[in-house]
Amino acid sequence: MEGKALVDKVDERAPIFNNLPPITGALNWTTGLLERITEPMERLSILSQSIKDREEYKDVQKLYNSLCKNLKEYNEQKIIIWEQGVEESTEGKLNKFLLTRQETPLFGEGLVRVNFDPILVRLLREVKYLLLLNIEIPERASLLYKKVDTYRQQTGNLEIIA
Amino acid sequence: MYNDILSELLPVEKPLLADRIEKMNISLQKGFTDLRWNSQNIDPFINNAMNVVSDVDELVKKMKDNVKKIQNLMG
Repeated sequence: MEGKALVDKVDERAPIFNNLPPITGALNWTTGLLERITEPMERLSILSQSIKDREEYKDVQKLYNSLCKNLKEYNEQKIIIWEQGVEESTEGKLNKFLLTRQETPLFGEGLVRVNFDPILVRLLREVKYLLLLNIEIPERASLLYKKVDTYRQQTGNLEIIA
Repeated sequence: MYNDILSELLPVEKPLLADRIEKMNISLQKGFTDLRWNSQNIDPFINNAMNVVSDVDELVKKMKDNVKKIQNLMG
């Protein structure tokens, strides 16, 4: 199994660190794979021309190129899917009220809950790590991320009040 | 604080604090019906609610403390 088939097959069980959000985790994994195959290729590339003319070398070169291409496509696809989700979700979630009531047997008024959508939390976390990897962020997401400290402070204070 | 206060108040204590509870509810009201995450003026709302709710919180703690003292004296 090689090339695209391998990337697709492994996708399901991509080893993602526990502390990384899903998209960044996947990109981090493929970046690691790319580095791992690139390093030996660079070492091979300084060998003399007579070796490079051999069939085996050409096979390796071809495999390397197709793997690189697949990994890059995989990355791009992950990012595109994520960007679509960002566009769809942020506007609506930011339009929710700050607080909400939740029924409780304890008292009639109902519990006060901070109404900051978990999807936004996930998104902000993802942006933080994508920036660390120097990946370009869709405009909507980076606009949202500019206010990350504000949101953190506001949700924090509201949690104390509630 | 709000949830703790209301869940810890005894049924006999609640009427004593009815006006404070009402005050808290009023201070939070905008958060349920007016202010959204993309609204302006969220911070003044939070500051005000924080003041109101922490005042009541302090009062309730004092009240509970006093009750405990009285119980100890009588026991």
